[in-house]
Amino acid sequence: MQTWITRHRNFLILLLVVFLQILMVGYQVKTGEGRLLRLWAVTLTGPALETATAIHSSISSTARGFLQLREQAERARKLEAEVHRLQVENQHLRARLMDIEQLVRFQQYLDQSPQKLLPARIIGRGTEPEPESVFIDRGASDGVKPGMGVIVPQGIVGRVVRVFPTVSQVLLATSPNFASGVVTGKHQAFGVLKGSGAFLCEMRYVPGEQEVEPSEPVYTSGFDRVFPRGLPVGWVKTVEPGNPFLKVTVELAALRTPLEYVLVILEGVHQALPRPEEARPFELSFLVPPQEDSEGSERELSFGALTDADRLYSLYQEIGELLGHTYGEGLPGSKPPEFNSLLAPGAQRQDLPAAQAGSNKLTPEPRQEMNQAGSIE
Amino acid sequence: MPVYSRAATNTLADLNRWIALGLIVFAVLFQVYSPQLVPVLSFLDLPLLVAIYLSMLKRSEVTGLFIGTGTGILQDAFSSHPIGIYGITKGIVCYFVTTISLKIDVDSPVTRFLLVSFFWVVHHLFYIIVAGALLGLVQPGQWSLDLKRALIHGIIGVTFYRVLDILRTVET
Repeated sequence: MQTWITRHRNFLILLLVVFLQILMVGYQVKTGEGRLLRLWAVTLTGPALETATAIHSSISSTARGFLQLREQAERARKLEAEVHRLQVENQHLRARLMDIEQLVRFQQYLDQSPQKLLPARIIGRGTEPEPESVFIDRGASDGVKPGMGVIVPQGIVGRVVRVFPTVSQVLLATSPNFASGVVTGKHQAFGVLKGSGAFLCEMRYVPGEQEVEPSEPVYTSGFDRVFPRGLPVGWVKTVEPGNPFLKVTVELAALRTPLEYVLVILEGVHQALPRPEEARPFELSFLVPPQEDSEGSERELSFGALTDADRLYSLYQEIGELLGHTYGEGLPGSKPPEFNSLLAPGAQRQDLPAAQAGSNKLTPEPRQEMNQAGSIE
Repeated sequence: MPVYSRAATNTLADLNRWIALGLIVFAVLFQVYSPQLVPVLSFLDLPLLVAIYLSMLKRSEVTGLFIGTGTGILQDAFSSHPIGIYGITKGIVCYFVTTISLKIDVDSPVTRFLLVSFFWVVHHLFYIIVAGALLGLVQPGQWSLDLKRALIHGIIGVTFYRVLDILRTVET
């Protein structure tokens, strides 16, 4: 027996321990006791658990805050990158919109203008220290010839100086080598626009007694045979008295902003200048086709609407009509009409047949085309 | 690779008793606290793993029994059921673990995996029987889930025991 107990001692101890625990469980179920061990266990480990919980809570809130901060920072960085991208895209779209608007203006101008114009794109600038010339993508193969004027709807740009097969060089109006005949819109003061290397040009040879106002619009006079009459140039900036000529500076309208597209005048058509009261110097204006005179209209064109050559031409034409003479006809040696003994500007035409009587006022030809040689056809 | 084979060297490493006690307390507290951090860890019975490991190191079944019983009772102190349920189940499990460890080499990872998985199932079975017989608690059977838990305990046990092996001192 003792041997059996000894041999199975461990197993018996197991059974004993299990049995005692069963009794302990039964006792606890019956009486509800067993609090002592729990009290000790929980009391001893409670502070450690509380400390661990506090540390964990602190660490986790810090970590959460850090992660949130990082997340916010990442989000802010992404938003910033997105804003930057949108700003760049916005700038790009604005530039494209400006291009499109410019092209629309160009197209409207092309549709409305009586001139024969050739659109061109600026592809390069001259290598001078101060840009005085540009290159356009139109050349001899497109019909461009030296001396042709180059404009944009806002005003004159320059003059073609060299022509290559597919490229042309344009001298800008700001160049000191550039000159153009101009006239002011209000007081009809004629002068020569001379580039000075900047956007302010000089208007030379304006008589000292001529009246010129600042902010007065300036147009091309057509005298230089490069630009037809009536193209906007800019406006008078300053006027200083001088002897014998005034010192007038003109601010160009076309070259204030960078240009990308221009128009080459292949065939120019003289235009009527706007009335002084209609001229709005600071508003960029399109050229409009000249208004056709209605029958019996007493409208008086402004003095500056005609050049001297135009007036002389009109006079001789009227004389020819009155005398029944056709120019270019008649055999050599035949008697010419009596130009001097007949009509003079302002003279009364009472002796003339009624059908041939005209108004005292000079009426311009509705439209005169100017060829490239500068003579009027 | 260091060899901790008991049969090979007999200088095997045992854990310092205070370290062992600290391990048991840590394991119980870990089971109390870790589900707060990681809820999925609520299924992990770390005290059982520690008790099995400590039992494997002992050469006396009674020592293993008392290790299991003590661990179980400490675990019962933080539970809602009467003290002694885990004491009974863990005591029985650790007794047999020690019995087996005296006969086979329990230091190889495969043996440890099989041992831990098997005795987790045994522990769970005894818990159902004791809780049902003494407390009238009837737990629904989820054998597929329990099998998965057993295997997971086996994997965790192998890894955990490799870490605990570092704490073992070499006796000369």
